[in-house]
Amino acid sequence: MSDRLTGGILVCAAAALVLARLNLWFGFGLAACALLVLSLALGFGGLRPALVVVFVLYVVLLSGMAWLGHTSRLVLGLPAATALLVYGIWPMPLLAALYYALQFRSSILPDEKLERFLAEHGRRRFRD
Amino acid sequence: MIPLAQSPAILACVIGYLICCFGIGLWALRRTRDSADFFVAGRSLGMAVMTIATMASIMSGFGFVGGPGLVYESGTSSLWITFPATIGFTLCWVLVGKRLRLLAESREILTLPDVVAVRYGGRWPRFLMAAALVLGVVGYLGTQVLAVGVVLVAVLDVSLPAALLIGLGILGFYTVAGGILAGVYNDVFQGFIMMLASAAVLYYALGSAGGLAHISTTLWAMDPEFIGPWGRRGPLAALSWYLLFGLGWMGQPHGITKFLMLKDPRRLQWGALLTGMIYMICSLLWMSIGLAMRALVERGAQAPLAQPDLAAPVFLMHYTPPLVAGVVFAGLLAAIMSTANSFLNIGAAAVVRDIPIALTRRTLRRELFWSRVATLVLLLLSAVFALYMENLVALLGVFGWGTFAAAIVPPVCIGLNWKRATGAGAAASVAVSLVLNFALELASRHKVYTLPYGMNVGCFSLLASLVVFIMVSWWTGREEEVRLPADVRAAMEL
Repeated sequence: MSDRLTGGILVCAAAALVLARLNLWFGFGLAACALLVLSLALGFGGLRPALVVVFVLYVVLLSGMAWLGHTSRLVLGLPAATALLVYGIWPMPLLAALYYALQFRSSILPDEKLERFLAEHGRRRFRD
Repeated sequence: MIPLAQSPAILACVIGYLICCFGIGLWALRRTRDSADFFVAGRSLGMAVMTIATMASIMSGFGFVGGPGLVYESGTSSLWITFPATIGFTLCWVLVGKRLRLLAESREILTLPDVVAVRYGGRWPRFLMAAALVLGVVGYLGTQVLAVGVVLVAVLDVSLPAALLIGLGILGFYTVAGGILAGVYNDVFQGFIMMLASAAVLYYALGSAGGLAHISTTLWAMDPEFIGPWGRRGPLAALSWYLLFGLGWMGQPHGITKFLMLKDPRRLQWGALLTGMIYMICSLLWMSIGLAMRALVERGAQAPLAQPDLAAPVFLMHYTPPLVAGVVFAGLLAAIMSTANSFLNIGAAAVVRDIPIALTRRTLRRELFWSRVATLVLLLLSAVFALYMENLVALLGVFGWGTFAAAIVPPVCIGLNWKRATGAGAAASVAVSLVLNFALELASRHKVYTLPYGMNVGCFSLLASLVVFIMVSWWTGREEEVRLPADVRAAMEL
């Protein structure tokens, strides 16, 4: 799995370089978001559904910003596209952080796996 | 011309803050007995301390002085520098936190070059990583030191050399005496000040400029690009900043080395979420001062600023009560000094521990003593560097950030999660990142060549470094994956 994800990161990084050179900024933005989400997937050990949701939200928000770029209508005190940035793009990735916290004890670092690692490889025991 | 803050309340807050830093340094001096205490705080930190300390060391003078200046100058473009913190901290915890902390359970790891050496073996990856750290530290530390000078000149009404002497004297004392232990507990104290300051500033910024909607309307009438989603620098510049700073957080040594200091790996659980949220609070200062000041200037309520970096000091002195200004000035100093302290520690470790081990395979005798000497020398060098530097604090901050991101993300952050990564890939990516960062930055400054369409140099170097790392690792075969030490393999698979 990590080989495939790293391959995806390579493709996204190379695509971002090419798209930047061509000034295709929307494509660059999509490649950047894909790169960020694939990096998260590499850390999680796979492309979990929560990460797919984060990627879809990135695409929706970026598209919305591109579409509303020249609209002067204010949303919560900011021009609509800027509001998507401030109230959307900014806090949205915390969904992945929340997912990490909720999955921590069950799949990120379960107690029994940590105990086994410490028993086999630990130099010292930390105080609980 | 730097504005002068002559209010007794501001003076009292800043002097009180400096005395607290000094006191924490004295406290930590008695608890620092060996290199592990000096570099990784004896692996004694709890979740709350680690979380706030990470946020405080990452939110630097770049954020508190340069950030509002960049918003004032180019509008929402610069929000794309601070907003990636939410994805950046998440990536830090997901990709790096657990792996680093588990490796620290099985090996004697005090620094990032230690991590690289354990992961890849050989001298070159360790040496190149240490060299990248020293070069990045020099660039970044210079900006922090200059920012200390700017704030103290404004508050104490002294010359820049005198301000540097005072600020760096206190910073030097607590860093040299108490190492990272003093730094971390100062970071916690400083983090609270920064949060308080940011919340207060948001209130006064919105109030002084008539509310967010009024600010937006004024700025839209002035220039729709300025308050539009990408700002004046355009979409490609904004998105390249988002990518650089999103991925780049996990390449910041002053942030991720905090994982080595955590007492128990299980305390990683809520760190990403909490750090992201706290950082969002502190970013409010960045955003609100810049937008409010530009709106006030556009309406004629405020004279135009001589330089963008004055946005924060001028706003504080003219639009907030003295006590709030005092707390925020203390917060500014806190942001700057907490970052500088971390860089001093990392730079000293690279000079005293990593480079000697890479060259001679041995640690220095009396490592703690030489660490303190190296810290002092780095501080003095950075002061000299700062006195002769004329560029904007913020832009230099981007340069330092980009160097770290491009050099550290591929070999450390990807490499700890991909067993097929090789030492040759790591060495090649660090070398490419250093050459590209410095060559492109130099070419841009001397107007020889500039990347087109506002593409950021650091982002370009990071992407190129990632491509080189993965391709060279693929080419140099699977043998190294087979040779991975059992504990490293276990830490990567858990």
